[in-house]
Amino acid sequence: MWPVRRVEPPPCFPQWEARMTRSEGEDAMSQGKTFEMVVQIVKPYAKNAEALEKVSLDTHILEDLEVNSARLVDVVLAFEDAFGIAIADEDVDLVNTIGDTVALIESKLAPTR
Amino acid sequence: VIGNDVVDLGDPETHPGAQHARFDERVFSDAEREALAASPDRVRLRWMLWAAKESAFKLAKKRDPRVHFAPRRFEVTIASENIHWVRHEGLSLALRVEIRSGYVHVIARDEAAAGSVCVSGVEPVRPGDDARATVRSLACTRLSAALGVAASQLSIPRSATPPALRLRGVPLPLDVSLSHHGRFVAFACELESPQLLEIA
Repeated sequence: MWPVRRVEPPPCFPQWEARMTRSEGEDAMSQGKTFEMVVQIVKPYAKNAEALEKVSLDTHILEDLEVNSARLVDVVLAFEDAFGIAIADEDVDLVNTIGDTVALIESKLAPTR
Repeated sequence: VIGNDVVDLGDPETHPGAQHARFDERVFSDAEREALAASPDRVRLRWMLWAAKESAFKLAKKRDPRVHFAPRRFEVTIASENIHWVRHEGLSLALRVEIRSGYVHVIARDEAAAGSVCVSGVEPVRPGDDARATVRSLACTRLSAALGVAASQLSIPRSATPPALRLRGVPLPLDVSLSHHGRFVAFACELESPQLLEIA
């Protein structure tokens, strides 16, 4: 069971408003699935097993899970492959917490839904 | 300001094939990929280029927090075996590269800092030790000798980002850069001579 908590989008996601026309249930289900996929992708690169066990939307990928910056490149490329999206260099700065990452990926997926 | 990065060449993460298939394309410029293709030691060159970009990014981010983590935009030029440069959107940085059998350590400095003193160090982390504590201890010990104060009077709180050196709890106007990968920790700090004397 993933921790149920709404992710407030950063103001730079113009697609988010369009997403809000979908039902709350659809949003929660979609975020839950994205959360699970994000955690599965990050898992092999995480050095802090204890933080990984308690992973939540607030978990910081670099600081808490101790994914190093070179591995972050691999993680971002794996997100692109898994979700069929492109993550620009500018967007990599938004890959901070797991929640930020879920919000970023959801914003990229929204126009295709 | 200063940036540094260390890469443990013995860490399985650095082995060929451990990276995503598009890692090189995402990280390196066309010229850098050509240099890699022609290199007899691609592993060492790949991680030297990475450490160069990472150390330059750390420096550039301190100068301008709006700088993005976009390694490909930090272009490395190898002028000779020991002279390297990174260029990024008008910024030109000199690199000090140290390659040993176990690691590569790169320090990025501003061109204008050529006359100042750079204190740095690399040390292995003992099994079971906390790398964050080890790197702070290494930096405080080496800097205490350079500054002429007791190491116990220096500290680098974990809460500060980027890292900040303190003397008896008071922040010093010195920039310090810390790094850790695999079995190694490293640091670099820029000291201008008058500043050094004043503090001592």
